[in-house]
Amino acid sequence: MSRTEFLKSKNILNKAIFIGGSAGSFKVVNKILTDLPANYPFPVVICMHRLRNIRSGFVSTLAINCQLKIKEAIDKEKISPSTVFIAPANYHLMINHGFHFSLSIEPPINHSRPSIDIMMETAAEVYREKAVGILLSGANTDGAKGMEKINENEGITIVQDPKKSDIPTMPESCLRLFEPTKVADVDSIIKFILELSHKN
Amino acid sequence: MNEMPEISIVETKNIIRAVKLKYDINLSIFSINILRFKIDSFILNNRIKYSDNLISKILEDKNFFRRFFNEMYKYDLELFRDTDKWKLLRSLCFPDLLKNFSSLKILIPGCSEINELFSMLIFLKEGGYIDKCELEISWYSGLYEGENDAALMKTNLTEIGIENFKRIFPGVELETYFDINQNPNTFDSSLLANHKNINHNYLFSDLDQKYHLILFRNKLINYTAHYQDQILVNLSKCLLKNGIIVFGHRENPFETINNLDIYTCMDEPDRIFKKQKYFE
Repeated sequence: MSRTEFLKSKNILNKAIFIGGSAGSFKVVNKILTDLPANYPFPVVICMHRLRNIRSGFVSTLAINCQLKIKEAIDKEKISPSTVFIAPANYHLMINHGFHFSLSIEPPINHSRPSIDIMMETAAEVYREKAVGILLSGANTDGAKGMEKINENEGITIVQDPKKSDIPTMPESCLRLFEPTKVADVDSIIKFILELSHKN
Repeated sequence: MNEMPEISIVETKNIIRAVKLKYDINLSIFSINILRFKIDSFILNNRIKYSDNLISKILEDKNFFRRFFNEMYKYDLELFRDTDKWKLLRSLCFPDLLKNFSSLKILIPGCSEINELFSMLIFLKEGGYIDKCELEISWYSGLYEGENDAALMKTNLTEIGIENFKRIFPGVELETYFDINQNPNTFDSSLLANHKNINHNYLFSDLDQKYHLILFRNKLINYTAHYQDQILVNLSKCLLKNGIIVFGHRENPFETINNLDIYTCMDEPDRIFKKQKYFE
């Protein structure tokens, strides 16, 4: 079976969007989700550094202006299109072959759990050229290696312009590793991912 | 470990295959990415250069394999992980259980981290439940098997664990339970007498139906869906009618729980279920 036939059989000719961010990224994620239409076809998986013990309020706040269905991912849940999945606090979120999530309570990576690197590296392995990685503002280097993996597997990588980021550390650490598909401000990121869905 | 695993899925599968052939132990019960984490951490901690070297050592040295196998079940859990859950145990589960039962038998299956034991013992003591409860712990794959209580007393309290403790028990001094001046920190040995270690492999067997509360948090996630079902069946057999089972709040036991048709859901977001019928 060819790769295209395999992908078709698993209903994943579509791309999937993987967004990582930390300090300064909440408002960016909020803006992205506000501008995605209700029929946006791709799954959107978001991994943001969060306070461990604060469970409620995060998803509901993002849901206010989001037209897509939005929820926290649960273990072994299928990654479905037109849905926004949020990495739950204090778990690592991984993408498994079979296009479902798995969770883990392994130790923090880069002091982070959930780790953006873990989400993106596992996404790169499963979605390969269909993965779209977006790295936003943040105060540590989590996510840089994950984005590099997406890039190595011929996926699309978008880094928030460090000059336009509240905290440029995270985007800059990515730019030190490789040249992404695009470095952009928020509006350009949104325009790009909307155009992706039109091309698809 | 604070790096993303380097070991690939192919290498992980090679290790699974080698272990199965040599020891007839099936590591593919684990969710593959979790197994990768564990194996990678083991490789780093034991300064092994390549996964092939790991396979050779596993095949040649049974003691080394046993160490490797035990590591596959170990976790670094902070004290009172998920404070909301502990608050629910206090406000929802224990009041409900004590309405129906005058004393409680509690099971924590597959415990692989000493902080799980400490958390429960402190919780029972602070709640005034300690004299009403018998706590049984099964340690996975013989971890702590044969160890005396002195080995169980030591932990390294993390900032997060201390924060969790204060969140649940504001006004209670941590020093009530830990000698924080020692390194590692030492737990109150008198409280350790309030638990019993048992031999139980929840994957492949059940126990007598005698437990009122089973705490099985964030362990289902380690396994593939098929083995999750098997575990849930085994644990359901151990639980008394009107007993309660508690999972991690992002775990996904719903399909099997619904199929068993013996539970009602006490709290869906927190995955707390009450057994209403006998298991047939």
